[in-house]
Amino acid sequence: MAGLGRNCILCARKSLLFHRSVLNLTRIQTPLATEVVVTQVRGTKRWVRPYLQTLLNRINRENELLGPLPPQPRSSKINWNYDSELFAFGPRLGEKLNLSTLRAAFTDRSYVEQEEERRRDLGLPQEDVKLDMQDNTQLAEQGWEVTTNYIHRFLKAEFPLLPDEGVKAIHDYVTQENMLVWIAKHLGVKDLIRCESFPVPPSVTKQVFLAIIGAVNHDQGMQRAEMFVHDFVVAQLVGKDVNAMWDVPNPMGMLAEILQKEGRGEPEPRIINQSGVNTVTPVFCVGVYSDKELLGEASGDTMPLAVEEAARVALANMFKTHEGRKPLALDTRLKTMAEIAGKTDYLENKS
Amino acid sequence: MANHIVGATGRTVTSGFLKSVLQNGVGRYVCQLQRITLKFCKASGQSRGVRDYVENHLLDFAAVNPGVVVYVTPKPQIHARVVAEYLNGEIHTVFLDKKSAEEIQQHVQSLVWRSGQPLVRLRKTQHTENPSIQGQWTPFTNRPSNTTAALEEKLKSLAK
Repeated sequence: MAGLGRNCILCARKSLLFHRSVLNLTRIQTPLATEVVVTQVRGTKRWVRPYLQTLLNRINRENELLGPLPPQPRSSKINWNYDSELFAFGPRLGEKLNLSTLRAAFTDRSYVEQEEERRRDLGLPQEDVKLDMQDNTQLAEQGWEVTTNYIHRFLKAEFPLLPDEGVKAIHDYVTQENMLVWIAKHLGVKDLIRCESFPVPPSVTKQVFLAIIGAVNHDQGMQRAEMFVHDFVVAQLVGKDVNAMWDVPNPMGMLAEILQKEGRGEPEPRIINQSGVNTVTPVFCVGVYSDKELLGEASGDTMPLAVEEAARVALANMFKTHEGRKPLALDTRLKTMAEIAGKTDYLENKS
Repeated sequence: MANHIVGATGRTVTSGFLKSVLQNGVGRYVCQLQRITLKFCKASGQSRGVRDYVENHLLDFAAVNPGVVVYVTPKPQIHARVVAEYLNGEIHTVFLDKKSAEEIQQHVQSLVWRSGQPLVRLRKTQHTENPSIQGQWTPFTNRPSNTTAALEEKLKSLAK
């Protein structure tokens, strides 16, 4: 191992002290036949600096050859106690969780298999190889069910006019792997995962996070688990543009279809304003009308772009997902305060 | 205090705006401090305050903050310090040499309250991602619209 050579300069200093003590010892223990007088000379030790420089050069050369050290799991450090960390996880999130459930939620299937393989290699009898260890498969399934149901319900209540496809798109955005891994990372899940490989793959982190939701569901009931999803997953929608999550390929076609269903006139794009038409930076401001009623307006560099954008804005206005809509009812305290003050209109998407 | 930025003058320190971690507080508040490690010497006079803190205050701290894992690591001849690890992966160290138990209590409490984000000079004491509710002003805002028949025909053909 390249351990010694790759230490920091402080360690190099320590090894320097070590060399010096060994040197002194050998001198004392094995005196030569002829009389050797070792006298200490006080003054500037001019050999120290070149010696340290040589060590540093060696460290730098090895670092160059071997590259940076691979990431180490937090559990490899001396100040690590898995049981304490596991105990702290529940109170940190304000949940009363059973430690055995939590342990199961953090255990990936690969870890159990690895442990069994290890026992088999040690030559244990076949009946002892099988471990009585729960993994998180079942809890993750439960967690996913709770999550997807609740998010669908929440979005349907928040955006009652949005079609199912749009709701699904927002749901998919907020439950995508990257998002769940990001949330899990910021709740201190990463260090506690028991998995075969390190760094932990994102799919495993996602499964563990869902299993934690499953564990809350198992220990504290559905309502608590839904609150968990509400507070940590749905809250990520704050400050995000929900219209950007749903990519409608042909907005004008969809607008026409919806208007036809409602028995209104077909959409008619009209130029409202334009500027610099014959320059390299023209701007067209287009409004979409139906029965002489303005549905939405937008601007763009070219006319087709502006028309498409205006159709998107018109759709957002129809679905009440437009810019400047009322904020999502995420803060339940806000809701109660508004109820007390008799200002519930403010929170409902009526305008 | 731990929150003080040394040399916080003008452009010498990274500046930034207020931000929250993971929309913390929208749903429920999660204390961002994950674990603290107290490192001190068992014999040194400089670590006396830390020893006092460990003997008299640390259990109370752990009881009040069950979500923070506490490690106590005595090590001979080192500068006493508390190492705080946050949920976002940041690590902050506060040196505690020659500090009394009460001072240490304050330092540790300030670590609990922090978000774990790197300390930056705040440009403003408030911040919003949506500066305007009405939308940005353009030269066309509040201007009467004009129509051109020829362009209308063109747009009609485009829409089809």
